[in-house]
Amino acid sequence: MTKTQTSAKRGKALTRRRALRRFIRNPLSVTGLVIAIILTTAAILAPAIAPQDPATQHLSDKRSKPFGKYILGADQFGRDILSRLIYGARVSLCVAVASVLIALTGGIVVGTLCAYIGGLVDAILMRFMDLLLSFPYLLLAIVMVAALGTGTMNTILAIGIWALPTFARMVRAAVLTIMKKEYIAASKAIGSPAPRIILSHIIPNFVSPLVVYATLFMANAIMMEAALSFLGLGVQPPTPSWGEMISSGRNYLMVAPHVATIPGLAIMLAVLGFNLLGDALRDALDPKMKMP
Amino acid sequence: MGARPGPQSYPLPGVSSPLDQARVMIVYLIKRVLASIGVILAMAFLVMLILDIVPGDPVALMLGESATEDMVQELRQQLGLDKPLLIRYADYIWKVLHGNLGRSVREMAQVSHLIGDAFPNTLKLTASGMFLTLIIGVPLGLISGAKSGSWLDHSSRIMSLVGLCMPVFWIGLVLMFIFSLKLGWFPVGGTGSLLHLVLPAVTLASYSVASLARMTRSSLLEVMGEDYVRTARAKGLAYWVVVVRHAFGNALIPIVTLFGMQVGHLMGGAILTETVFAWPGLGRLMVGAIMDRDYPLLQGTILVFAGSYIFINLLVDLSYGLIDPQVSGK
Repeated sequence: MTKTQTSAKRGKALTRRRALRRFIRNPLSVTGLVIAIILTTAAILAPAIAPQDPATQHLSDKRSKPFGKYILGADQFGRDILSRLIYGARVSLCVAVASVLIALTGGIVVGTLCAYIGGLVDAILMRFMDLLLSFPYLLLAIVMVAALGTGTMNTILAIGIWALPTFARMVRAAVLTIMKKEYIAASKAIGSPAPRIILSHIIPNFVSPLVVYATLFMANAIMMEAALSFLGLGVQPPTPSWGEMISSGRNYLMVAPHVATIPGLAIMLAVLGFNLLGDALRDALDPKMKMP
Repeated sequence: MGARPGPQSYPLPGVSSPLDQARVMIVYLIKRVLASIGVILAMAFLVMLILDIVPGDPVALMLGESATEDMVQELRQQLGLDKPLLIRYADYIWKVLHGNLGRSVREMAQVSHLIGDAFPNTLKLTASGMFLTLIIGVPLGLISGAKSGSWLDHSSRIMSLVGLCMPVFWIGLVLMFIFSLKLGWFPVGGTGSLLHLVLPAVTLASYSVASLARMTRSSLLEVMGEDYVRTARAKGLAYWVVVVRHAFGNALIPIVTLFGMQVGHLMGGAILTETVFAWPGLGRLMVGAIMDRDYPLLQGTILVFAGSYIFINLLVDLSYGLIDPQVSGK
């Protein structure tokens, strides 16, 4: 008994070490991780590392060029762009994390219920998810915003609901595969109640694809938030958000191109970082994993 | 339909007579068309339901603060908002079937006229985006996959990775800055000549080109490892003949699937591109309708937008039947 336990533990430690080695050996993985860490740190420590207050308007420095008084220049109101980018990281990451959490929780609940109960519940819920998925990109989030109104909270909700069906589908497929395993049948045979089977046998077994998918979706959520805010339907000024910065800076494209273009680089970096990290996690955790 | 049900009817899809195959194809076609109509109807209902949960009184919001109680009542009756949701829905669908999408609250015009003016512009933009995606994305992925490991492959992979991470609207602004404002080659915005179309179309296609190139590459690489590709090479066929005739043909299904999905992305991207280049299309109409709380116009634009997406996906689905005859039999 103790012997098999220790060997199982050793086996687990070995797989984990192998996964870590696969992760570290790939330069792209490390790049993704570094970008994600930098952004998260910037978001958390924003007040400490931002050189200026993001809202203070230095009207004499309106649209001043980068590498002068301000490292990345100032915007149309003379606000420091670097500080706004750092605070913008806070907004973008918060929106992304919160909406992915909504999608993740909702997806696990819907997906597990569908797979476990099956029958009519499964059919109705999944047809509804398919319906949500058949909206073209951006449109479902736009409809949600049209109903709920703009603002940070509603943006989170809109992106969360937009992402939910994809997670639900993935979880459902994973649960259906796991349910065919013998240990589930064994657990049922000894009379475990359904909640325990779900919580202690099913969910732990699809954590790794879920982590990968959530990471990749962080990139999608950041892009979505930027798009909604650019259209004026997401995070509202004066809250600094990357998409909103591009939107308000584009009127000065001729005289001060840096105001609208620099935030785009931040979006690109963030999306790239989370995409690389997600790909790397997939390769490290399970190279054979097929993404839906 | 269903005259000879059961598995005995078609023991092997490849062996059944041409008549049977035609019948299978027609049944499949009818099923897909009916399913698409169902999805559009359900979508219209869902959009109505979502817009119904608007906090506060939508009519009062539409008219603004200066409206009197009588004006609110009148507009509510005119929009039919005093009736229950299901009746309103049936009413709306009935009117839509007669080409009547209601009146815009702000523009004081028929929604169908506004959409009729904007839709051709969006169609022009998305169609050129799709065209660019196909003529750039697929060859790029093909070269990348066939010459995997070469500098061409590496540079095209890096380009597509970066292309996937750039926001569409930002690409539009950068292109506008370089080619319109600095070089003066293209107009800054609006429609009219073919020159007006170039920058918006390139902007819109960028994401899909990158994504399709990636998909084409990986799906080609998967097929290139198959036995029949080796056999074709072994019997002395030239490398590119094998790539194009044997490998590409078999790698086509995932590519077409992804292209169908990209259409949705292109349409969403069109909303952003239209905003950047002041392109008078459906996307701008839609965003304007949200800002103005013009619900009849919003509903109409969403219906047309989502409807065309479903229609294009129907065409993509049916094209599977042409690429791979086995699909329609399943």
